[in-house]
Amino acid sequence: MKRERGSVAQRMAKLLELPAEIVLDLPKTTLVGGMQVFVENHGGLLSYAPDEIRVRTVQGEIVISGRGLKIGSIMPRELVVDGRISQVELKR
Amino acid sequence: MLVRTLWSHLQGYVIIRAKGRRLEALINEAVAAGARLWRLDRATPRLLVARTDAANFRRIARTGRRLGVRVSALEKRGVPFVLGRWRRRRAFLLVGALFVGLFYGLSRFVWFVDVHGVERLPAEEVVAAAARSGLRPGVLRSDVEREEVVLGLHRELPRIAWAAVEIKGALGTVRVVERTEPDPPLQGPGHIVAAYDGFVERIVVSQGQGLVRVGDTVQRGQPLISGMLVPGSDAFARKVEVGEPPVLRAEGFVAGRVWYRGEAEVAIPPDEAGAVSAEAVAAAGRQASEAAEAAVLEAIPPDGEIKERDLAVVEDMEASPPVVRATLIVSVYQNLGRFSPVAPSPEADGSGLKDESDGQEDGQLQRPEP
Repeated sequence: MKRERGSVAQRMAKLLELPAEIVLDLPKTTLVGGMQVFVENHGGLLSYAPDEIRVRTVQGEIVISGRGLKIGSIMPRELVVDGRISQVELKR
Repeated sequence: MLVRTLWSHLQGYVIIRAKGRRLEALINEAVAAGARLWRLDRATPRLLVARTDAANFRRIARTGRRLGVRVSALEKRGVPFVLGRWRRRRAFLLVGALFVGLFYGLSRFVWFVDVHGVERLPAEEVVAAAARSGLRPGVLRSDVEREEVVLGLHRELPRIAWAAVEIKGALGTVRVVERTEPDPPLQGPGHIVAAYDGFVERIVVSQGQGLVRVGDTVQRGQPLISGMLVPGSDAFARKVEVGEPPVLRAEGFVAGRVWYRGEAEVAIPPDEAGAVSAEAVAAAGRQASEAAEAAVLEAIPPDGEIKERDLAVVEDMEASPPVVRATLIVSVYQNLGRFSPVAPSPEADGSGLKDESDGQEDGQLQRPEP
């Protein structure tokens, strides 16, 4: 059922050329250089440490590794991580 | 980002400190409830410093209590908190506002009126005239019609040639320029008398009776041109009829030679040996003549014209210390006469010739021997 609806929505999104992350609530992760990561549609923090920040999303877990990581801001839909980022990983 | 920062400031934000184990849970719950957190700094695994909007602070603290995290406010920043602080200082603010208000209110009035440019006219008269035209201490600045005040000044003080009114702050300034009035016409009876001892070289009589001739020697105070009417003439009779002294105003010009004498004495300084050198004598001589000349020049009236000069320098070696005396005699061609009014007195019938300004040259008019 869920898959069916998802695929319909997916097709709709493609048809109407709407961004998938908005229509489907998918996480959108943007890496700005090696110093900033934006995670839209996040589902909350799993852990927060200066060398690793783990973020929950509907697709799994996004792990941001680096040094001196800080959360620049966190809002219901958007999360900004600042610091020297070395790795961004999606764990399904 | 700047907009957001400004907005946070306007709304007020709190720097919170959260101490506990379940910090991620606290962040998640706060965000799920709609809060925004920024500049999160996890100093240690059990300590978090972050900023959040003032409106969310209480809720986050409550959530923290439930999760076993102690949430406290490190600092409150932004406009509402600043205002709150001011609100507590209401009395202070009130006095400040009162002061500003009072100052503003007072600054709308003219408090001082100043007068510039008066010479003979008393400044109080100008101030009074300005006050009657609407410029006086205590009136609203906006009520002062400058043109009206200027017109009023001209109306009330005919001796003013020009007036301007300026208002700067609480000070109203009236600038006036007085009319330069001609000297009162010379009138009234009187004689021309000698102002100096001298020798008459020129005499021109335009009104009155000339009493001296070229070549006469005159003394200070001596009448030169008489204003006395000749007894028996029509003018004399008319004057007597109305009870006025039979004296008219003598007019004319008497010029001649006046001698001035200037003296000076300068000591000759002896040199180391106690002797008097020729140079020292010469220097003292120069000094003495200069001093004598200065004394003479000071006495000569501005219209005087130096005709002759005679300088005598004498060394007196017998005196101790030895001195040099310089005597300068200058003859000057100049005006000799001076008008001397006669006070109108009914009983005076020509004998009232009196040098009032001198006081001592009192006496009968004496005609020079022909």
